[in-house]
Amino acid sequence: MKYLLITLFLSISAHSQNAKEKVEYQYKKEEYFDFDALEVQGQLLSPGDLTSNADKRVKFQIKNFIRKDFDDYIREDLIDIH
Amino acid sequence: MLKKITILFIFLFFSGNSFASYKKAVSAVKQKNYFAASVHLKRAIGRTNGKKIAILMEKIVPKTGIYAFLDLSMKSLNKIGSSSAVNYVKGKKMFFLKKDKEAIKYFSKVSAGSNFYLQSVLNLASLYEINGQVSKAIKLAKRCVKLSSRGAKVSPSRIRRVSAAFRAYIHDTCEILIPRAYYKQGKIKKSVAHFKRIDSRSYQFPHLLFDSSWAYFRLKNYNRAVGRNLTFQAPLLDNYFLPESEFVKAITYLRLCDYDETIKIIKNFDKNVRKKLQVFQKSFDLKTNRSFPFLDYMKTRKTKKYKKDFITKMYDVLAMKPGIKILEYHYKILKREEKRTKLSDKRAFRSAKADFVKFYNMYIKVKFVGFAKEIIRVSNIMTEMELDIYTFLKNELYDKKNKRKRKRRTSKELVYNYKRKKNQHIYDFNGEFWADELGNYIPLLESSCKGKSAF
Repeated sequence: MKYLLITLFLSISAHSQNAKEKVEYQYKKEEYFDFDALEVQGQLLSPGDLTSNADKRVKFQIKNFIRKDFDDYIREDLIDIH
Repeated sequence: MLKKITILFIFLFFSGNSFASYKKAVSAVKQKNYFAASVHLKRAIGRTNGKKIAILMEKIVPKTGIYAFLDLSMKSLNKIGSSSAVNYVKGKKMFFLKKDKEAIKYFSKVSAGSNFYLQSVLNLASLYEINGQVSKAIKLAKRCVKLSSRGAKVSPSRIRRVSAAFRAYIHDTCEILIPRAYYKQGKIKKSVAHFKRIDSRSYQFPHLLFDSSWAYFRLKNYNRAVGRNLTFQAPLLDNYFLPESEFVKAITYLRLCDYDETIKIIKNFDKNVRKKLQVFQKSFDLKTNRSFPFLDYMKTRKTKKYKKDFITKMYDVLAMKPGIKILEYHYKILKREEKRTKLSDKRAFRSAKADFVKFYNMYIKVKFVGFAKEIIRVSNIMTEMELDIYTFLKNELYDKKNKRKRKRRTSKELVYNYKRKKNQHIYDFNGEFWADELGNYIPLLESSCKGKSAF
Protein backbone atom coordinates (compact mmCIF):
# COMPACT_ATOMS: atom_id res chain seq x y z
CA MET A 1 0.00 0.00 0.00
CA LYS A 2 2.83 2.36 0.98
CA TYR A 3 4.61 1.70 -2.34
CA LEU A 4 1.41 2.19 -4.25
CA LEU A 5 0.94 5.67 -2.72
CA ILE A 6 4.56 6.65 -3.49
CA THR A 7 4.20 5.58 -7.13
CA LEU A 8 0.91 7.49 -7.44
CA PHE A 9 2.50 10.60 -5.98
CA LEU A 10 5.53 10.40 -8.31
CA SER A 11 3.42 9.98 -11.41
CA ILE A 12 1.20 13.00 -10.51
CA SER A 13 4.23 15.23 -9.86
CA ALA A 14 5.85 14.18 -13.13
CA HIS A 15 2.67 14.97 -15.03
CA SER A 16 2.40 18.49 -13.51
CA GLN A 17 6.07 19.16 -14.31
CA ASN A 18 5.50 18.20 -17.96
CA ALA A 19 2.55 20.56 -18.19
CA LYS A 20 4.68 23.48 -16.97
CA GLU A 21 7.57 22.97 -19.36
CA LYS A 22 6.00 23.49 -22.71
CA VAL A 23 8.58 23.04 -25.40
CA GLU A 24 8.18 25.18 -28.46
CA TYR A 25 9.78 24.13 -31.68
CA GLN A 26 10.70 26.81 -34.14
CA TYR A 27 11.73 26.20 -37.67
CA LYS A 28 13.99 28.39 -39.72
CA LYS A 29 11.94 30.88 -41.64
CA GLU A 30 14.26 30.99 -44.61
CA GLU A 31 17.07 28.80 -45.75
CA TYR A 32 19.45 29.36 -48.65
CA PHE A 33 21.25 26.77 -50.64
CA ASP A 34 24.42 27.82 -52.34
CA PHE A 35 24.28 25.65 -55.43
CA ASP A 36 27.56 27.03 -56.74
CA ALA A 37 29.33 25.65 -53.71
CA LEU A 38 27.88 22.18 -54.35
CA GLU A 39 30.21 21.48 -57.21
CA VAL A 40 30.69 17.82 -58.01
CA GLN A 41 34.14 16.73 -59.02
CA GLY A 42 34.20 14.47 -62.05
CA GLN A 43 34.41 14.09 -65.78
CA LEU A 44 31.60 15.33 -67.95
CA LEU A 45 30.07 12.22 -69.40
CA SER A 46 26.75 11.60 -71.05
CA PRO A 47 25.21 8.73 -72.96
CA GLY A 48 25.12 11.01 -75.98
CA ASP A 49 23.26 10.78 -79.24
CA LEU A 50 23.98 11.54 -82.83
CA THR A 51 23.82 15.30 -82.32
CA SER A 52 26.06 15.39 -79.26
CA ASN A 53 29.70 16.32 -79.29
CA ALA A 54 31.53 13.06 -79.82
CA ASP A 55 34.51 14.09 -77.69
CA LYS A 56 32.38 14.07 -74.55
CA ARG A 57 31.18 10.50 -75.01
CA VAL A 58 32.93 7.55 -73.44
CA LYS A 59 34.08 5.73 -76.54
CA PHE A 60 33.09 2.10 -76.97
CA GLN A 61 36.11 0.01 -76.10
CA ILE A 62 35.97 -3.52 -77.43
CA LYS A 63 38.43 -4.79 -74.81
CA ASN A 64 36.05 -3.81 -72.00
CA PHE A 65 33.41 -6.14 -73.36
CA ILE A 66 35.53 -9.18 -74.04
CA ARG A 67 34.42 -12.02 -71.80
CA LYS A 68 36.91 -12.73 -69.03
CA ASP A 69 35.30 -15.88 -67.66
CA PHE A 70 32.20 -18.05 -67.87
CA ASP A 71 31.30 -17.87 -64.18
CA ASP A 72 27.70 -16.79 -64.81
CA TYR A 73 27.09 -19.79 -67.06
CA ILE A 74 28.83 -22.12 -64.61
CA ARG A 75 26.50 -20.92 -61.87
CA GLU A 76 23.52 -21.44 -64.15
CA ASP A 77 24.62 -25.01 -64.85
CA LEU A 78 24.65 -25.68 -61.12
CA ILE A 79 21.06 -24.43 -60.78
CA ASP A 80 20.09 -27.26 -63.14
CA ILE A 81 21.77 -29.86 -60.95
CA HIS A 82 19.44 -30.48 -58.03
CA MET B 1 2.40 -28.84 -8.32
CA LEU B 2 -0.42 -28.31 -10.80
CA LYS B 3 1.96 -26.28 -12.99
CA LYS B 4 4.53 -29.08 -13.06
CA ILE B 5 1.92 -31.62 -14.04
CA THR B 6 0.67 -29.35 -16.87
CA ILE B 7 4.22 -28.83 -18.23
CA LEU B 8 4.90 -32.56 -18.08
CA PHE B 9 1.62 -33.25 -19.86
CA ILE B 10 2.43 -30.72 -22.63
CA PHE B 11 5.94 -32.17 -23.00
CA LEU B 12 4.60 -35.71 -23.21
CA PHE B 13 1.93 -34.65 -25.70
CA PHE B 14 4.41 -32.99 -28.03
CA SER B 15 7.14 -35.58 -27.72
CA GLY B 16 4.56 -38.29 -28.30
CA ASN B 17 3.27 -36.38 -31.31
CA SER B 18 6.76 -35.93 -32.80
CA PHE B 19 7.54 -39.57 -32.26
CA ALA B 20 4.25 -40.36 -33.99
CA SER B 21 5.41 -38.15 -36.89
CA TYR B 22 8.61 -40.14 -37.20
CA LYS B 23 6.63 -43.39 -37.08
CA LYS B 24 4.30 -42.09 -39.76
CA ALA B 25 7.31 -41.17 -41.91
CA VAL B 26 8.74 -44.69 -41.55
CA SER B 27 5.40 -46.22 -42.45
CA ALA B 28 4.99 -43.90 -45.48
CA VAL B 29 8.46 -44.84 -46.75
CA LYS B 30 7.53 -48.52 -46.44
CA GLN B 31 4.48 -47.83 -48.60
CA LYS B 32 6.67 -45.87 -51.04
CA ASN B 33 4.84 -42.64 -50.29
CA TYR B 34 7.97 -40.52 -50.16
CA PHE B 35 6.39 -37.09 -50.49
CA ALA B 36 4.04 -37.62 -47.53
CA ALA B 37 6.97 -39.14 -45.62
CA SER B 38 9.01 -35.97 -46.14
CA VAL B 39 6.34 -33.87 -44.42
CA HIS B 40 6.08 -36.25 -41.44
CA LEU B 41 9.85 -36.37 -41.16
CA LYS B 42 10.19 -32.58 -41.12
CA ARG B 43 7.72 -32.47 -38.21
CA ALA B 44 9.88 -34.91 -36.27
CA ILE B 45 13.05 -32.81 -36.52
CA GLY B 46 14.35 -31.64 -33.16
CA ARG B 47 12.15 -34.07 -31.28
CA THR B 48 13.40 -37.39 -32.55
CA ASN B 49 16.95 -38.67 -32.68
CA GLY B 50 18.79 -36.76 -35.45
CA LYS B 51 20.63 -39.86 -36.69
CA LYS B 52 17.37 -41.70 -37.28
CA ILE B 53 16.06 -38.77 -39.31
CA ALA B 54 19.26 -38.63 -41.34
CA ILE B 55 19.01 -42.33 -42.20
CA LEU B 56 15.44 -41.90 -43.39
CA MET B 57 16.39 -38.84 -45.42
CA GLU B 58 18.86 -40.92 -47.41
CA LYS B 59 15.88 -42.94 -48.64
CA ILE B 60 13.50 -40.03 -49.22
CA VAL B 61 15.64 -37.38 -50.97
CA PRO B 62 16.49 -39.46 -54.10
CA LYS B 63 12.74 -39.85 -54.72
CA THR B 64 11.37 -36.45 -53.77
CA GLY B 65 14.39 -34.40 -54.77
CA ILE B 66 15.96 -31.83 -52.50
CA TYR B 67 12.96 -29.49 -52.88
CA ALA B 68 11.06 -31.19 -50.06
CA PHE B 69 13.73 -30.09 -47.58
CA LEU B 70 14.92 -26.77 -48.97
CA ASP B 71 12.36 -24.80 -46.96
CA LEU B 72 13.92 -26.00 -43.69
CA SER B 73 15.99 -23.44 -41.83
CA MET B 74 19.69 -24.13 -41.25
CA LYS B 75 18.90 -24.34 -37.56
CA SER B 76 16.51 -27.22 -38.24
CA LEU B 77 18.86 -28.88 -40.70
CA ASN B 78 21.65 -28.75 -38.14
CA LYS B 79 19.50 -30.71 -35.74
CA ILE B 80 19.58 -33.66 -38.15
CA GLY B 81 22.57 -35.97 -37.92
CA SER B 82 25.26 -35.79 -40.57
CA SER B 83 24.67 -37.84 -43.70
CA SER B 84 25.39 -37.42 -47.40
CA ALA B 85 21.80 -36.48 -48.25
CA VAL B 86 21.67 -33.92 -45.43
CA ASN B 87 25.01 -32.39 -46.41
CA TYR B 88 23.96 -32.23 -50.04
CA VAL B 89 20.71 -30.46 -49.16
CA LYS B 90 22.63 -28.04 -46.91
CA GLY B 91 25.21 -27.39 -49.64
CA LYS B 92 22.53 -26.72 -52.24
CA LYS B 93 20.66 -24.41 -49.87
CA MET B 94 23.84 -22.41 -49.27
CA PHE B 95 24.50 -22.31 -53.02
CA PHE B 96 21.04 -20.87 -53.72
CA LEU B 97 21.71 -18.28 -51.01
CA LYS B 98 25.03 -17.49 -52.76
CA LYS B 99 27.03 -18.44 -49.68
CA ASP B 100 29.66 -20.27 -51.69
CA LYS B 101 32.17 -20.91 -48.91
CA GLU B 102 29.52 -22.54 -46.74
CA ALA B 103 28.32 -24.56 -49.73
CA ILE B 104 31.85 -25.82 -50.39
CA LYS B 105 32.10 -26.91 -46.75
CA TYR B 106 28.97 -29.07 -46.98
CA PHE B 107 29.65 -30.52 -50.46
CA SER B 108 33.08 -31.64 -49.22
CA LYS B 109 31.38 -33.74 -46.55
CA VAL B 110 29.37 -35.87 -49.00
CA SER B 111 30.87 -39.35 -48.90
CA ALA B 112 32.29 -41.08 -51.96
CA GLY B 113 29.89 -44.03 -51.87
CA SER B 114 26.71 -42.01 -51.76
CA ASN B 115 24.12 -41.25 -54.43
CA PHE B 116 24.99 -37.58 -54.23
CA TYR B 117 28.74 -37.83 -54.66
CA LEU B 118 29.00 -37.03 -58.38
CA GLN B 119 26.75 -34.00 -58.10
CA SER B 120 28.80 -32.84 -55.14
CA VAL B 121 32.08 -33.13 -57.03
CA LEU B 122 30.65 -31.08 -59.91
CA ASN B 123 29.32 -28.49 -57.46
CA LEU B 124 32.68 -28.35 -55.70
CA ALA B 125 34.71 -27.99 -58.90
CA SER B 126 32.41 -25.25 -60.19
CA LEU B 127 32.39 -23.32 -56.93
CA TYR B 128 36.19 -23.47 -56.72
CA GLU B 129 36.38 -22.08 -60.25
CA ILE B 130 33.94 -19.26 -59.49
CA ASN B 131 35.81 -18.36 -56.32
CA GLY B 132 39.21 -18.15 -58.01
CA GLN B 133 40.73 -21.49 -56.98
CA VAL B 134 41.06 -22.42 -60.65
CA SER B 135 43.81 -25.05 -60.46
CA LYS B 136 41.90 -26.89 -57.77
CA ALA B 137 38.77 -26.66 -59.91
CA ILE B 138 40.53 -28.17 -62.95
CA LYS B 139 41.87 -31.05 -60.88
CA LEU B 140 38.41 -31.82 -59.48
CA ALA B 141 36.72 -31.42 -62.87
CA LYS B 142 39.11 -33.96 -64.41
CA ARG B 143 38.30 -36.35 -61.58
CA CYS B 144 34.61 -35.73 -62.12
CA VAL B 145 34.93 -36.59 -65.84
CA LYS B 146 36.57 -39.88 -64.91
CA LEU B 147 34.04 -40.74 -62.23
CA SER B 148 31.01 -39.86 -64.31
CA SER B 149 31.92 -42.04 -67.23
CA ARG B 150 29.42 -44.81 -67.99
CA GLY B 151 28.22 -47.00 -65.17
CA ALA B 152 28.61 -44.41 -62.42
CA LYS B 153 26.07 -44.41 -59.60
CA VAL B 154 23.98 -41.26 -59.39
CA SER B 155 20.72 -40.06 -57.95
CA PRO B 156 17.90 -40.28 -59.07
CA SER B 157 18.58 -43.97 -59.34
CA ARG B 158 15.11 -45.46 -59.76
CA ILE B 159 14.68 -45.14 -63.51
CA ARG B 160 17.74 -46.20 -65.42
CA ARG B 161 17.05 -43.94 -68.39
CA VAL B 162 16.77 -40.76 -66.26
CA SER B 163 19.75 -41.81 -64.24
CA ALA B 164 21.86 -42.34 -67.36
CA ALA B 165 20.87 -38.96 -68.79
CA PHE B 166 21.65 -37.25 -65.50
CA ARG B 167 25.05 -38.93 -65.32
CA ALA B 168 25.82 -37.92 -68.89
CA TYR B 169 24.84 -34.33 -68.12
CA ILE B 170 27.17 -34.24 -65.10
CA HIS B 171 29.94 -35.73 -67.25
CA ASP B 172 29.49 -33.15 -70.01
CA THR B 173 29.26 -30.25 -67.56
CA CYS B 174 32.46 -31.34 -65.82
CA GLU B 175 34.13 -31.72 -69.22
CA ILE B 176 33.32 -28.17 -70.36
CA LEU B 177 34.41 -26.79 -67.00
CA ILE B 178 38.05 -27.59 -67.84
CA PRO B 179 38.41 -25.31 -70.93
CA ARG B 180 36.34 -22.67 -69.18
CA ALA B 181 38.78 -22.69 -66.27
CA TYR B 182 41.79 -22.44 -68.62
CA TYR B 183 40.07 -19.52 -70.34
CA LYS B 184 39.72 -17.78 -66.98
CA GLN B 185 43.42 -18.35 -66.35
CA GLY B 186 44.20 -16.70 -69.70
CA LYS B 187 45.51 -19.96 -71.21
CA ILE B 188 43.43 -19.53 -74.34
CA LYS B 189 45.29 -21.95 -76.61
CA LYS B 190 44.98 -24.67 -74.00
CA SER B 191 41.33 -23.79 -73.61
CA VAL B 192 40.72 -24.17 -77.36
CA ALA B 193 42.54 -27.51 -77.35
CA HIS B 194 40.18 -28.79 -74.64
CA PHE B 195 37.11 -27.39 -76.38
CA LYS B 196 38.13 -29.39 -79.46
CA ARG B 197 38.22 -32.61 -77.46
CA ILE B 198 34.53 -32.34 -76.52
CA ASP B 199 32.18 -34.51 -78.55
CA SER B 200 29.49 -32.81 -80.62
CA ARG B 201 26.90 -35.10 -78.99
CA SER B 202 27.59 -33.48 -75.64
CA TYR B 203 24.71 -31.90 -73.71
CA GLN B 204 26.88 -28.82 -73.56
CA PHE B 205 27.38 -28.63 -77.34
CA PRO B 206 25.57 -25.27 -77.74
CA HIS B 207 27.76 -23.81 -75.01
CA LEU B 208 30.78 -25.43 -76.57
CA LEU B 209 30.06 -23.41 -79.74
CA PHE B 210 29.48 -20.20 -77.88
CA ASP B 211 32.31 -20.47 -75.33
CA SER B 212 34.87 -21.49 -77.93
CA SER B 213 33.81 -18.57 -80.15
CA TRP B 214 35.08 -16.25 -77.40
CA ALA B 215 38.32 -18.20 -77.23
CA TYR B 216 38.77 -17.87 -81.01
CA PHE B 217 37.99 -14.19 -80.80
CA ARG B 218 40.77 -13.75 -78.27
CA LEU B 219 43.14 -15.65 -80.53
CA LYS B 220 42.15 -13.21 -83.31
CA ASN B 221 40.74 -16.06 -85.34
CA TYR B 222 37.72 -13.98 -86.32
CA ASN B 223 36.45 -16.26 -89.05
CA ARG B 224 35.99 -19.03 -86.60
CA ALA B 225 34.57 -16.76 -83.93
CA VAL B 226 31.73 -15.78 -86.28
CA GLY B 227 31.43 -19.23 -87.79
CA ARG B 228 30.87 -20.88 -84.44
CA ASN B 229 27.95 -18.62 -83.63
CA LEU B 230 26.46 -18.93 -87.11
CA THR B 231 25.86 -22.56 -86.27
CA PHE B 232 22.98 -21.47 -84.02
CA GLN B 233 20.98 -20.75 -87.16
CA ALA B 234 20.94 -24.45 -87.98
CA PRO B 235 17.48 -26.03 -87.52
CA LEU B 236 18.93 -28.57 -85.16
CA LEU B 237 19.83 -25.88 -82.67
CA ASP B 238 16.50 -24.10 -82.90
CA ASN B 239 15.74 -24.83 -79.26
CA TYR B 240 18.82 -23.09 -77.98
CA PHE B 241 18.98 -19.43 -77.29
CA LEU B 242 22.09 -17.57 -76.23
CA PRO B 243 21.62 -13.80 -76.63
CA GLU B 244 25.33 -13.15 -76.24
CA SER B 245 26.15 -15.18 -79.35
CA GLU B 246 24.73 -12.31 -81.41
CA PHE B 247 26.98 -9.95 -79.50
CA VAL B 248 30.06 -12.03 -80.32
CA LYS B 249 29.17 -11.80 -84.00
CA ALA B 250 28.63 -8.06 -83.78
CA ILE B 251 31.86 -7.38 -81.91
CA THR B 252 33.81 -9.52 -84.41
CA TYR B 253 32.46 -7.60 -87.38
CA LEU B 254 33.25 -4.39 -85.54
CA ARG B 255 36.82 -5.47 -85.11
CA LEU B 256 36.95 -6.20 -88.82
CA CYS B 257 35.54 -2.71 -89.47
CA ASP B 258 32.52 -4.15 -91.21
CA TYR B 259 30.17 -1.56 -89.77
CA ASP B 260 27.25 -2.35 -92.06
CA GLU B 261 27.18 -5.94 -90.94
CA THR B 262 27.53 -4.94 -87.30
CA ILE B 263 24.57 -2.57 -87.54
CA LYS B 264 22.56 -5.24 -89.33
CA ILE B 265 23.09 -7.70 -86.48
CA ILE B 266 22.18 -5.08 -83.89
CA LYS B 267 19.00 -4.06 -85.72
CA ASN B 268 18.02 -7.67 -86.18
CA PHE B 269 18.49 -8.37 -82.47
CA ASP B 270 16.42 -5.34 -81.59
CA LYS B 271 13.60 -6.34 -83.90
CA ASN B 272 13.45 -10.05 -83.19
CA VAL B 273 14.38 -10.23 -79.53
CA ARG B 274 14.33 -6.97 -77.61
CA LYS B 275 10.90 -5.80 -78.75
CA LYS B 276 9.28 -9.14 -78.03
CA LEU B 277 10.73 -9.18 -74.56
CA GLN B 278 8.21 -6.66 -73.25
CA VAL B 279 5.29 -8.94 -74.17
CA PHE B 280 7.14 -11.81 -72.55
CA GLN B 281 7.71 -9.87 -69.32
CA LYS B 282 4.08 -8.76 -69.14
CA SER B 283 2.68 -12.23 -69.83
CA PHE B 284 4.31 -13.78 -66.81
CA ASP B 285 4.56 -10.92 -64.35
CA LEU B 286 8.31 -11.23 -64.52
CA LYS B 287 8.83 -7.91 -62.79
CA THR B 288 6.87 -8.90 -59.68
CA ASN B 289 7.32 -11.59 -57.07
CA ARG B 290 4.04 -13.26 -57.92
CA SER B 291 4.31 -16.84 -59.06
CA PHE B 292 2.77 -17.98 -62.32
CA PRO B 293 1.28 -21.46 -62.90
CA PHE B 294 4.08 -22.53 -65.22
CA LEU B 295 3.59 -26.19 -64.32
CA ASP B 296 0.08 -26.16 -65.83
CA TYR B 297 1.39 -24.59 -69.00
CA MET B 298 4.22 -27.11 -69.25
CA LYS B 299 1.71 -29.96 -68.92
CA THR B 300 -0.61 -28.64 -71.63
CA ARG B 301 2.10 -27.62 -74.09
CA LYS B 302 2.62 -31.26 -75.04
CA THR B 303 -1.02 -31.88 -75.90
CA LYS B 304 -2.26 -28.47 -77.08
CA LYS B 305 -0.80 -26.90 -80.16
CA TYR B 306 0.34 -23.40 -79.32
CA LYS B 307 1.18 -20.75 -81.85
CA LYS B 308 4.92 -20.62 -82.54
CA ASP B 309 6.06 -17.35 -81.06
CA PHE B 310 8.74 -15.97 -78.81
CA ILE B 311 7.06 -17.27 -75.64
CA THR B 312 6.68 -20.85 -76.89
CA LYS B 313 10.28 -20.69 -78.09
CA MET B 314 11.38 -19.74 -74.59
CA TYR B 315 9.47 -22.73 -73.22
CA ASP B 316 11.15 -24.97 -75.76
CA VAL B 317 14.54 -23.61 -74.73
CA LEU B 318 13.73 -24.26 -71.10
CA ALA B 319 12.36 -27.76 -71.72
CA MET B 320 15.81 -28.75 -73.00
CA LYS B 321 17.37 -27.90 -69.64
CA PRO B 322 18.19 -30.93 -67.49
CA GLY B 323 16.82 -29.09 -64.47
CA ILE B 324 13.33 -29.32 -65.96
CA LYS B 325 13.80 -32.96 -66.89
CA ILE B 326 14.72 -33.83 -63.32
CA LEU B 327 11.76 -31.87 -62.00
CA GLU B 328 9.49 -33.75 -64.39
CA TYR B 329 10.92 -37.03 -63.18
CA HIS B 330 10.06 -36.14 -59.57
CA TYR B 331 6.65 -34.87 -60.65
CA LYS B 332 5.89 -38.27 -62.16
CA ILE B 333 6.72 -39.92 -58.82
CA LEU B 334 4.46 -37.40 -57.10
CA LYS B 335 1.53 -38.17 -59.42
CA ARG B 336 2.00 -41.89 -58.90
CA GLU B 337 1.99 -41.43 -55.14
CA GLU B 338 -1.15 -39.30 -55.26
CA LYS B 339 -3.20 -42.31 -56.34
CA ARG B 340 -2.07 -44.61 -53.58
CA THR B 341 -1.86 -42.17 -50.67
CA LYS B 342 -3.89 -43.30 -47.67
CA LEU B 343 -6.50 -41.05 -46.09
CA SER B 344 -4.29 -40.55 -43.02
CA ASP B 345 -1.45 -39.27 -45.24
CA LYS B 346 -3.59 -37.09 -47.53
CA ARG B 347 -2.97 -33.87 -45.62
CA ALA B 348 0.78 -34.39 -45.52
CA PHE B 349 0.82 -35.27 -49.21
CA ARG B 350 -1.12 -32.11 -50.14
CA SER B 351 1.40 -30.02 -48.23
CA ALA B 352 4.34 -31.72 -50.01
CA LYS B 353 2.67 -31.28 -53.38
CA ALA B 354 2.06 -27.58 -52.75
CA ASP B 355 5.75 -27.11 -51.86
CA PHE B 356 6.85 -28.98 -54.97
CA VAL B 357 4.58 -26.98 -57.30
CA LYS B 358 5.77 -23.75 -55.69
CA PHE B 359 9.40 -24.72 -56.30
CA TYR B 360 8.66 -25.77 -59.88
CA ASN B 361 6.94 -22.47 -60.70
CA MET B 362 9.62 -20.42 -59.03
CA TYR B 363 12.35 -22.36 -60.83
CA ILE B 364 10.86 -21.53 -64.23
CA LYS B 365 10.29 -17.94 -63.21
CA VAL B 366 13.91 -17.58 -62.12
CA LYS B 367 15.01 -19.00 -65.46
CA PHE B 368 12.73 -16.65 -67.41
CA VAL B 369 13.88 -13.64 -65.41
CA GLY B 370 17.43 -14.76 -66.21
CA PHE B 371 16.60 -14.80 -69.94
CA ALA B 372 15.01 -11.36 -69.72
CA LYS B 373 17.96 -9.87 -67.82
CA GLU B 374 20.44 -11.34 -70.26
CA ILE B 375 18.56 -9.97 -73.27
CA ILE B 376 18.44 -6.50 -71.70
CA ARG B 377 22.15 -6.63 -70.82
CA VAL B 378 23.21 -7.67 -74.33
CA SER B 379 20.81 -5.22 -75.93
CA ASN B 380 22.17 -2.30 -73.87
CA ILE B 381 25.75 -3.06 -74.89
CA MET B 382 24.72 -3.36 -78.53
CA THR B 383 22.94 0.01 -78.38
CA GLU B 384 26.12 1.61 -77.05
CA MET B 385 28.04 -0.07 -79.83
CA GLU B 386 25.59 1.18 -82.46
CA LEU B 387 25.80 4.76 -81.22
CA ASP B 388 29.55 4.69 -81.32
CA ILE B 389 29.61 3.33 -84.82
CA TYR B 390 27.43 6.24 -85.94
CA THR B 391 29.62 8.72 -84.08
CA PHE B 392 32.72 7.18 -85.61
CA LEU B 393 31.27 7.27 -89.11
CA LYS B 394 30.18 10.88 -88.62
CA ASN B 395 33.67 11.88 -87.51
CA GLU B 396 35.25 9.96 -90.33
CA LEU B 397 33.02 11.78 -92.79
CA TYR B 398 34.04 15.16 -91.38
CA ASP B 399 37.72 14.16 -91.46
CA LYS B 400 37.47 13.18 -95.11
CA LYS B 401 35.80 16.47 -95.90
CA ASN B 402 38.43 18.50 -94.03
CA LYS B 403 41.26 16.65 -95.73
CA ARG B 404 39.72 17.43 -99.10
CA LYS B 405 39.39 21.09 -98.17
CA ARG B 406 43.04 21.29 -97.11
CA LYS B 407 44.12 19.62 -100.32
CA ARG B 408 42.01 22.07 -102.27
CA ARG B 409 43.59 25.08 -100.60
CA THR B 410 47.09 23.97 -101.49
CA SER B 411 46.74 22.50 -104.95
CA LYS B 412 43.75 24.55 -106.08
CA GLU B 413 42.58 21.50 -108.00
CA LEU B 414 38.87 20.98 -108.49
CA VAL B 415 37.59 17.48 -108.12
CA TYR B 416 33.89 18.27 -108.10
CA ASN B 417 31.79 17.57 -111.09
CA TYR B 418 30.19 20.90 -111.77
CA LYS B 419 30.94 23.18 -114.67
CA ARG B 420 32.68 26.56 -114.30
CA LYS B 421 34.21 29.14 -116.53
CA LYS B 422 37.85 30.18 -116.46
CA ASN B 423 37.14 33.47 -114.73
CA GLN B 424 35.11 31.82 -112.01
CA HIS B 425 37.00 30.89 -108.79
CA ILE B 426 36.53 28.79 -105.68
CA TYR B 427 36.84 30.41 -102.29
CA ASP B 428 36.00 29.26 -98.79
CA PHE B 429 32.72 30.78 -97.76
CA ASN B 430 32.97 32.42 -94.38
CA GLY B 431 29.74 34.37 -94.37
CA GLU B 432 30.96 37.37 -96.40
CA PHE B 433 29.20 38.49 -99.58
CA TRP B 434 30.61 40.74 -102.29
CA ALA B 435 28.14 43.10 -103.92
CA ASP B 436 29.36 42.46 -107.46
CA GLU B 437 29.13 38.63 -106.97
CA LEU B 438 25.64 38.44 -105.58
CA GLY B 439 23.55 35.92 -107.41
CA ASN B 440 26.59 34.04 -108.64
CA TYR B 441 27.33 32.00 -105.54
CA ILE B 442 26.77 28.27 -105.81
CA PRO B 443 27.29 25.72 -102.96
CA LEU B 444 29.54 22.73 -103.38
CA LEU B 445 27.36 19.61 -103.21
CA GLU B 446 28.74 16.18 -102.68
CA SER B 447 27.00 13.02 -103.80
CA SER B 448 27.13 9.90 -101.62
CA CYS B 449 26.14 7.69 -104.51
CA LYS B 450 28.51 4.92 -105.33
CA GLY B 451 27.97 3.69 -108.83
CA LYS B 452 24.56 4.36 -110.34
CA SER B 453 22.04 6.58 -108.63
CA ALA B 454 18.55 5.21 -108.08
CA PHE B 455 17.01 8.27 -109.74
